[in-house]
Amino acid sequence: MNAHATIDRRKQPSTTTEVMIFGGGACAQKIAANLADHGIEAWLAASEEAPPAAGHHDGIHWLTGTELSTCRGFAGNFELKLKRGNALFRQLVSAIVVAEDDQRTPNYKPYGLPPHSRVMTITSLEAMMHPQASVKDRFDGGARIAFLCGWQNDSHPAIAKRMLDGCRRLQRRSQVATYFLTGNLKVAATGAETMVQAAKRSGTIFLKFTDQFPTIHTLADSRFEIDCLDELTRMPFRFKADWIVVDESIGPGRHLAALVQGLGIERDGIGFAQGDNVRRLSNATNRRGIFVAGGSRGILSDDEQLADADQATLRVLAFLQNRESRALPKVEIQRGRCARCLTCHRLCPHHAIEIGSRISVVTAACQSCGICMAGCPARAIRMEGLQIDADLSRRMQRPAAPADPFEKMPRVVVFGCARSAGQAHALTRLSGNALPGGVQIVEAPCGGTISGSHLLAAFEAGADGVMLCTCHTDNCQSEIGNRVARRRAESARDLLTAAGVERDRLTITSVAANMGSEFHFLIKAFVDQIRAIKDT
Amino acid sequence: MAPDQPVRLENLNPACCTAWLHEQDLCLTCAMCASACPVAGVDDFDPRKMVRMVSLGMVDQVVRSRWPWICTMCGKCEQVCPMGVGIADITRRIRSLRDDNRVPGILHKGLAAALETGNNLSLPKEDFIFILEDVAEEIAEEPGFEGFGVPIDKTGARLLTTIHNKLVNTHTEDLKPWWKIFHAAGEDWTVASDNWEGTSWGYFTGDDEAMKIMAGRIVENMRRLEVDTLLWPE
Repeated sequence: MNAHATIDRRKQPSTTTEVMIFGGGACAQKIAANLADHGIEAWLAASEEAPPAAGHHDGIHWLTGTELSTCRGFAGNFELKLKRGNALFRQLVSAIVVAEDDQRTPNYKPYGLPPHSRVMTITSLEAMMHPQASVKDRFDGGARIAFLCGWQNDSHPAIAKRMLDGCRRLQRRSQVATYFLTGNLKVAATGAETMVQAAKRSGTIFLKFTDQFPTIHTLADSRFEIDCLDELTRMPFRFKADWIVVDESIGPGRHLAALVQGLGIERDGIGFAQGDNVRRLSNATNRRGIFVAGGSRGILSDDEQLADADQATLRVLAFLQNRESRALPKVEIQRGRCARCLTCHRLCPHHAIEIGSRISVVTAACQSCGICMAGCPARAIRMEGLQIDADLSRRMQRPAAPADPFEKMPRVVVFGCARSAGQAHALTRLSGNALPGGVQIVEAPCGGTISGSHLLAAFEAGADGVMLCTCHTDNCQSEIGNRVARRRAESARDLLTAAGVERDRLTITSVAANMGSEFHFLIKAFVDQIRAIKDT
Repeated sequence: MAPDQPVRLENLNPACCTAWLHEQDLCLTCAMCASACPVAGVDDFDPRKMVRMVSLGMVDQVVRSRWPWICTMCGKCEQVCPMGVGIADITRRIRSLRDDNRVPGILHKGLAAALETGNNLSLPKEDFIFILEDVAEEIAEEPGFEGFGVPIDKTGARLLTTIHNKLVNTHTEDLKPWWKIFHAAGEDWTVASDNWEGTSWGYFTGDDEAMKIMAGRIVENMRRLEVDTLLWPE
């Protein structure tokens, strides 16, 4: 898309084009300013009363001291209830961006240091060295400064780079000596290795520790004496430091957990608002129309956060321009069949089921995974163009090849997610690996599209074995599709046992899109397993 | 090498070696050099330690140690170093920083003798010529080499060859294969009676000045004898 295209609001009279951005920091502000430049009204909801130094921009509306209360509605048409003090107010928006700043916690404890007049964080050092700093630092004339980085946990390049840059800049001053006392130093970030070399060349002394860390004594004059063992030479070193700079840990912002919960989006093990799911490309979440950017996504350096603001802007613009057009097949709930049990509502990972006078699928939010369809007890949900039952029976009715060379081969149905198993199958074919005769592949939009009935129907149609292939754990496009599929397969296995059929005739496994040869291997192994069962 | 008392970092000057251009500051401590080094472990030597100490500015300690003389400067470490640290070059640089009279005996004395007399052994010219002619006579006694002679100081020859001092000391037999090949190939060759020494121990002691003198003498021999091709088998 053209990043500079302006949204013509007159063409969309039925919807608002406001975008709500949660956060008040540099990343959030940049997204708001970008959107305003494209003629889109952008609202900034910051929990702080006084947001961090704001560059004035005409198109941005500030809502300070504001927090999310509830979020209803769907992509293109969200209804937010916001709380300011005791007042609640409503705001309709088309899209939402979560761009809260991360939280940086000074690491005093890991170094056994209490906050102290001669101990500072990298952030306060940077503020002190800023050209416009109100208080000038006192680092000239023989100052020795020890930087403590990543002793307890490995350092993160986003922090380590700033520490290294601090060393390099201080070394430029006459008579200043810097010591970089580090644990495992991670340099897998743009420019991080260059930064290490620059600091070394500027004269910073590097001391790296893996198990025996230095001891720091506070002297009577409030300075420090540091004892350490150099792991390479096995020599004991000692030096006096006038100042200590400690690193920081980066974690999710204070309000992020509440935001994530209120908006119904995923979060990862640490608490950032985007799981490690490979399907969440750049700024996407499990909900259409809700995006996540900058320090809300994970540990990003300041530069990366600003770059991410631009990327998120492009995502939002693309969404606003394309929200009406839809390439995905439509999912509908058939009136008359629906018993209003709300199973679909509970299952839908995309929050696309609307409860009204009738239960309906909101097309703007739906991502056509079919998890609801497979879960509906009344079979009231249909996806345009998707006919797994028909596909299955067509495949099973195929006449055996003349003078069947695969006479002894069992008939096996492999149900697979099109995103992973479908791709792996294509790879298998490309690399010339023929699947064993008798194997039929039935693709579905998601592992969660396959119901227990589908699995059992395959046996009824004559399959000797059935395999269900999903994406790997935590890598489902629809968040829960693979987990739901596993649950359904286990229930189906119980039913097989109850019916006196070997439960190992049904298996569930996971593959990734690039696992062509593994897919081939898994199927061959399963066919062998079915043959063994048939032989006994 | 580890001292009893902690080393005070304030007293070290890491900047002292930054002009060396051996890239010691790039060391990642990956230990590829240590695994490649044929003498790692001897007297606790490890190329990484030497590089580390140079990087910290602990040059005096390394100069005083035996490490630079345990290293054979074979250069295997440099071949495997992913960061291109000039480890053997560092060894040579460190060796050059030791007082001449504290350089291990044979190297120091040999080099001093070479500078003074033209060869590491201080072998007089008459003795040198006698040995060469004696070897030539022995060759001439072999069938097919009748009339063989050694062309000393032959002006206008095509090829000048230098002599390693051990070939006129303990390994005179090793002269014969070379000379026989020259004879069989019909080579027009010669040996200089002065400054014939092919080895240059300034290379091992890091003495660039001495190397220059030794090389200059060979060039001078080529000029004097009007030879334009040099065989310098060292």
